[in-house]
Amino acid sequence: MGNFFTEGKHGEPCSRWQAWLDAEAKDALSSQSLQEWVSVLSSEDRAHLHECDECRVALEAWLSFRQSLQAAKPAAGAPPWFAARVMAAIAAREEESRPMAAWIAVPRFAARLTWVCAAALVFAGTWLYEKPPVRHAAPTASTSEGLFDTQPPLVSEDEVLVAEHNHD
Amino acid sequence: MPAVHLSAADDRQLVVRAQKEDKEAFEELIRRHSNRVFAVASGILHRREDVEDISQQVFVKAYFSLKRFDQRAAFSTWLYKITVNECWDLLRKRKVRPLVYEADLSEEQAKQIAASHQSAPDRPDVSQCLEARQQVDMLLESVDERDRTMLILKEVEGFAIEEIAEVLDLNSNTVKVRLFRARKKIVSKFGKRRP
Repeated sequence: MGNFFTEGKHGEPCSRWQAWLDAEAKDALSSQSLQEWVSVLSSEDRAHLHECDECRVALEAWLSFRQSLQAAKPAAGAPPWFAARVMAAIAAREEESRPMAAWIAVPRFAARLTWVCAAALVFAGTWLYEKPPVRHAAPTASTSEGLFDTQPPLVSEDEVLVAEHNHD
Repeated sequence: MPAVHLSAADDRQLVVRAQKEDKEAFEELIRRHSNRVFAVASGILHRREDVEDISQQVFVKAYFSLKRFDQRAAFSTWLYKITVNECWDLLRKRKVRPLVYEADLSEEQAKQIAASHQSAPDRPDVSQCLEARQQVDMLLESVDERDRTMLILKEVEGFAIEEIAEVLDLNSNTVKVRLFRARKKIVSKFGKRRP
């Protein structure tokens, strides 16, 4: 067998055989031998194949390789339980993405919650420590009255005058 | 069994129903397309466990993205696009060669292959098959990942050029040119290997 693609007198080797492979109408997959190919080719292509050694040898080699390629293809398809397995995987994924009940969510967020609480404590502690003390006005004079004695209501000067006038 | 043989109109109806969260409709879509998704994934990954996991991932992903799928492309094409991308992602993550050699097969896998060959006595034995597969894989290794996927989609799965272009997000002409170069390269190497 010669070397297929050594460049000859005409430069690029003839590759017309490849166009036949791409032509879908020739049911390329089922044709395995060169004889089968010849039978489906047009008279013009058949004449070319008869004359062109490059195309004939290359096409024969390609068909042989393709046969091996198809034979190497694993025969078994999807197992019968495959659809059920996929549906189970989908159901599991949906279950995972469903919103969780609050009590289930607590342990999941516990670590974050701890950090938030710790930060709040530090902030509150710092704020209380830094806060200026509030000064309460101290009583100016001590009275003899008891702590729980009620203070007499303060009466304005106008009210006294009105009361005296009514009395008169 | 090309994708176009499955009724696209039925697929459309099933997709509309599945978009309304009809799980039975989606299960039907899985049944219709799982064999092909497996085939596409097997062409890229080879290891049965990976193929099963990736195929499951593909359908789960499709289910959760279905509402965004506008049906401008066929459902099957959209699904194969997800399949190819998931396979490439896995390979990228693992950074391993996608090819499987005899030594990589588990005992169970070897037994499965042997059992499948016993049922067909006219077929060559396991070691011959594995040898042939290794040769094919070595030839495929001479082209890059994307071109290898193209070749498998075209020559093994029977995808049309336009369909491959859509799955791989490429222009049809680019697919043709790349297929052309990949075939040329493989035929050249294949010729050199043959006595």
